[in-house]
Amino acid sequence: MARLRGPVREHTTDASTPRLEARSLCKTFTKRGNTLEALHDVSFSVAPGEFVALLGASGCGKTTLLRTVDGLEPITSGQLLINGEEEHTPGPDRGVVFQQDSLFPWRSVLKNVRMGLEFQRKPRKVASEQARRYIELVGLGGFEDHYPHELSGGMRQRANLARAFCIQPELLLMDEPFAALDAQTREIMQTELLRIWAETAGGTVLFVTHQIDEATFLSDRIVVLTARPGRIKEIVDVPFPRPRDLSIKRTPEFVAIVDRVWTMIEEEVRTAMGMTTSHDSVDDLEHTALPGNR
Amino acid sequence: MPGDTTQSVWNEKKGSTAPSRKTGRRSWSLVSLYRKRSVWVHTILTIILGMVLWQVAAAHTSELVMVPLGAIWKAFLAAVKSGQLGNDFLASFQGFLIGLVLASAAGIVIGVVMATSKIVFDFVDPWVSAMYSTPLIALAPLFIVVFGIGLTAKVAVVITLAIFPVIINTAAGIRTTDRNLIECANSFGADRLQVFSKVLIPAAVPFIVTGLRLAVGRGLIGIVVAEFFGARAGLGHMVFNASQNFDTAGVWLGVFILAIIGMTLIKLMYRFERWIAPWRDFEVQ
Ligand SMILES: Nc1ncnc2c1ncn2[C@@H]1O[C@H](COP(=O)(O)OP(=O)(O)OP(=O)(O)O)[C@@H](O)[C@H]1O
Ligand SMILES: [Mg+2]
Repeated sequence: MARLRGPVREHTTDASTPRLEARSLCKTFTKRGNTLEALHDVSFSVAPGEFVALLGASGCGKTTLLRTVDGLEPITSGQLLINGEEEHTPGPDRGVVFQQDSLFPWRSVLKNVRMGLEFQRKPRKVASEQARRYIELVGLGGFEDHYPHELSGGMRQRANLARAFCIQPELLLMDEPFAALDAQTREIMQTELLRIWAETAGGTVLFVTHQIDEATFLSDRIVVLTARPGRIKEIVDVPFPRPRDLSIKRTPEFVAIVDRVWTMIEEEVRTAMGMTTSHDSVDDLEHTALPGNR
Repeated sequence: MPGDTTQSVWNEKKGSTAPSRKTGRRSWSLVSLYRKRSVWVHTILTIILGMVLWQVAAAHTSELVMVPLGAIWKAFLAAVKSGQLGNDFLASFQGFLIGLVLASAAGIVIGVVMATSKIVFDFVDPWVSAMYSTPLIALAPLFIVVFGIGLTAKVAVVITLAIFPVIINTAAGIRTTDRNLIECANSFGADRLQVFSKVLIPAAVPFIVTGLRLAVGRGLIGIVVAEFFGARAGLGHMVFNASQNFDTAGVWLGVFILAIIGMTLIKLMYRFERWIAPWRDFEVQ
């Protein structure tokens, strides 16, 4: 299949500049005098073209981190560099797939997908044409004129993907895009995502999830966060060659990485749930918490 | 079979008992015909029932209060023949329509301004809420005093009654827009104007139409009452005149016509709501 795009925006920065770099990033929420530290001293970088997963227990600040990168949430201290420059507002160089359903209910699939181009005041015809290509790409061809409430959950997520891809962002931010899907659909969407990503000559992806096997399957590196306040616990390399298909999930190497990350995160989940590490509760937890991750 | 599932969903909604599989298949055509047309069947039945009850009641009450339907029908034919009914209808309709259009336009603008400026909202909202819940119709005689007998007074009364639901619903629609959608638009690079025209206004449209529907109902009351107090023509004028002349059939004729107009308009507004916001899953009223 023909590549849908080459590099979009020319940057004067050289290839060694990370697409995204966080330096000692801190984020504190203040509400009626109460402060809540969501992120503490987070530093990591993402190279151009890299697929990085952000993994952590619920409430550890994954969404918050993604929102600061998108420019929806100001940072409290530290630095956040996009292509080596500080960015404080959302821009067309970043596309987001939100955790919650965020398709516009009064817009058809086509109009939802071309929304970003519309906001950039691209001619309607050009925008529609481009949107159609991405709708086709995510497998929603024929549903252009359907409204979101006429689609299944999986189809809505495809539309969300198409909308984010359609602005051809350099940096794609995805916040648990498949969390609401059933297990089978989720696995299919994971392979679909990799396919779309490859066919669009891949932007850089920051993918939030709390599913260890999802992170391992999709990414080049996994950034593991601690329980709140989120700090970097460890960054794990995932060396599988691409293209990948679901069968790698059964290889011993894959299982080894999942196991390693699991032990890392187990303690954090426990902390997040307000448990202490005691030997008695280990078995309980393994059978109740995060089923399906092992 | 897809037909099966839709049928059973439909069944549950209407609360009727689902026929067992066997009998359901057998008597399919008759049952399904009734189901498809049941609204019409029920509507016609209830109208017939109402007419029967009316005749019984009319036979047992004073001629000054109720008259048989035949007398009302005669009055109708006479009024149509003389051209009086057409005149009155047009006179009312003119005042109603002008008032409603002005109230809608002004109401939407005021609602939008209220919703987009917190200061304006804080200053205006108490008054709007107070006036919405006050029976402002009581002011109708004063309007006649100010504007004199004629179209202006009627329009003023209609506007006074119709504008508040439009203002309140428009403002509510914009203020309750899903924050996630606004944020999503921001994230995709929308500027303030685009957020306004492509998120806030579309999100408010169903609310605005609901406000308009309420405005139609109140405007109708407004026009009739305004015509009670002083008018040279109009349906309200007709009812008032008839009651002054102890013409009970004339009174009921006016009331029936107003009821039919009101029902038709409200039905049309529901249609309009569904047409303009097809993404909304409207329950049957
Ligand atoms: N706007 C806000 N105001 C105050 N506190 C907030 C706000 N947004 C998030 N928080 C807090 O910051 C912490 C991190 O929230 P965040 O949504 O980033 O978690 P998460 O890692 O995405 O969790 P999940 O996996 O459940 O989505 C939470 O404790 C949350 O209560
Ligand atoms: Mg989250």
